[in-house]
Amino acid sequence: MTEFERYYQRIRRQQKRDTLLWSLLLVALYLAAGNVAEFNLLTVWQSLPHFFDYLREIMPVLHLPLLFADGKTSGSLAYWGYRLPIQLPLIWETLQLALAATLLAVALAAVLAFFAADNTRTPASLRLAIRAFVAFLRTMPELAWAVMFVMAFGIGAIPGFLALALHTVGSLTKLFYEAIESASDKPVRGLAACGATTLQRMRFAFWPQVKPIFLSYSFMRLEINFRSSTILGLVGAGGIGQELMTNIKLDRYDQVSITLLLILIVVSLLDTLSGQLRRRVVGETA
Amino acid sequence: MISVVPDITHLKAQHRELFAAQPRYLRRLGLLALAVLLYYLFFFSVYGIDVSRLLNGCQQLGRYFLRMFVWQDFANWPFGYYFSQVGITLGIVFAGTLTATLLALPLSFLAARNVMHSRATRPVAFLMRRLFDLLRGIDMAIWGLIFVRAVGMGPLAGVLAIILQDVGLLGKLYAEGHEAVERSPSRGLGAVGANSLQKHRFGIFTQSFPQFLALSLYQIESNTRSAAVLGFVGAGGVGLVYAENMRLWNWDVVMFLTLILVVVVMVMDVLSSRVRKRYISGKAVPLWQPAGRD
Repeated sequence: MTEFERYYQRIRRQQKRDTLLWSLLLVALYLAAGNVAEFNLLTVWQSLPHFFDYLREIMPVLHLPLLFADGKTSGSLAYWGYRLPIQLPLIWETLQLALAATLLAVALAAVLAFFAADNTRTPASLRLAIRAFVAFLRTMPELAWAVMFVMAFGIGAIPGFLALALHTVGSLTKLFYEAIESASDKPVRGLAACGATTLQRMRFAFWPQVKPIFLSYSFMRLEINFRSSTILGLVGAGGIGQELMTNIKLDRYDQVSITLLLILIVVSLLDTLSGQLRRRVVGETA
Repeated sequence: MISVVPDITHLKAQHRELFAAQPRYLRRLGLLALAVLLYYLFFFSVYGIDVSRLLNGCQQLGRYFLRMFVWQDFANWPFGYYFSQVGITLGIVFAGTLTATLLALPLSFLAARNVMHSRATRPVAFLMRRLFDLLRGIDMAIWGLIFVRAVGMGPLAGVLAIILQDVGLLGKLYAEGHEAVERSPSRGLGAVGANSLQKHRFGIFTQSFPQFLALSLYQIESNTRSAAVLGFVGAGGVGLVYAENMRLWNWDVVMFLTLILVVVVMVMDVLSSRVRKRYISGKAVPLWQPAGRD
């Protein structure tokens, strides 16, 4: 055996040992997690048929010849969608919730982020305080915020709006200050050398660099917020969630499927729309 | 002659275009602000609540926050119960995200347009994408609600909810990773006679692996944060403790749990950044030093 082969075998052995150890660790963790969460092949095998049964049950009953008959005939489209006059305003409300919360949160987070970034010469105590505060805001679950505001303000859309806005401030501020921290320092120093004030440095040195990133994160967040605003109704904080939960709990099977269908349609529309808007706005400024 | 103080009026007359940019920008900003303001007026006039309720609610909120910072009877809290619920949440997240990763990886190859490039297989990629959109479009808590109804209460419903949501999300992101790879290694492998499976494994996956790992690690972290909502709908984990204690007005416990979760998420952040560094930038292998040379 040549010297090179010995070297090669040694490295190979080492790598194999590493891989084996890490794989064993991962498998052990996976099994432990599965054990804690009552997740194993047996339970999955037993419960999947129930899930597929449920899916089969929520399929609407549609008869082809009766498809366009009036709402009284079982098997027509109108019969399937008899609650649409209730559901459509609710989904509109959900959309408004997401939009209003995102707008407010973007404005707040953009301001907070400048104070939380470590290259904008903010005092360290204020910076740490803001960081801890936004970490708290985003780690408290949205539904917990929603429950709290529903208890304080009563049932309605405003608690949902506040809950969503607070949670979004928490997560956007983090993304925003990380974007500011990765911005280049050169324009800032250049402006400082010309005698620019702090506000002018922020406006003309940082803002042009981070604006496209801010905008694209904001659009991403709008899509996420619409998805999470559909669940706020579970605790009475407005939107389609209440309707969906009642339908699921009362076993109004065909209404479950139409509510899910509505949500999916709006989500995909919003995704396409915000994707196009993002490309226009970001492409224009970048 | 060069004057020391720049003649602003002269400059303005000379560069009309440049000096017009700032007022134009301010005008557009003002219009945008006005539009947002009008939107909020509309929003609050439709969904708003009256002032007395608002004031009353703020008073209530103040009381809740005060109670959050006064931890009464701290020594007698059932810590074992709280920590076991946090443990169950971590178990749900880990089992769910890892299973979703294992399921989404093969499916993502079926959804990548540069893998499914022939005329016969292109519809497969399209269908996979629509399936991912469908799974992703419905929130985790709603999947949880459906699974609680279909398979009963407990952590299993939570795991299945995470799996369905994450197969959609990760599948889409992995597929984008596969599509962004350099094409030449695949062509080279094809030229030396690799079959298509080998081309995908060594030509595509070696390049998209760092992204795959980073996305999975990030998803574990982000699920830890969002899995708390699963408990609210009966799908197991720490959300149950939240819901119970909010009904009982134990705001101090709510605060305590949130702090614990902040710490857990921070620890996971550190761990995952270490794993990322270890496996994406890699460890230096000592190079072979030929002894007999020079």
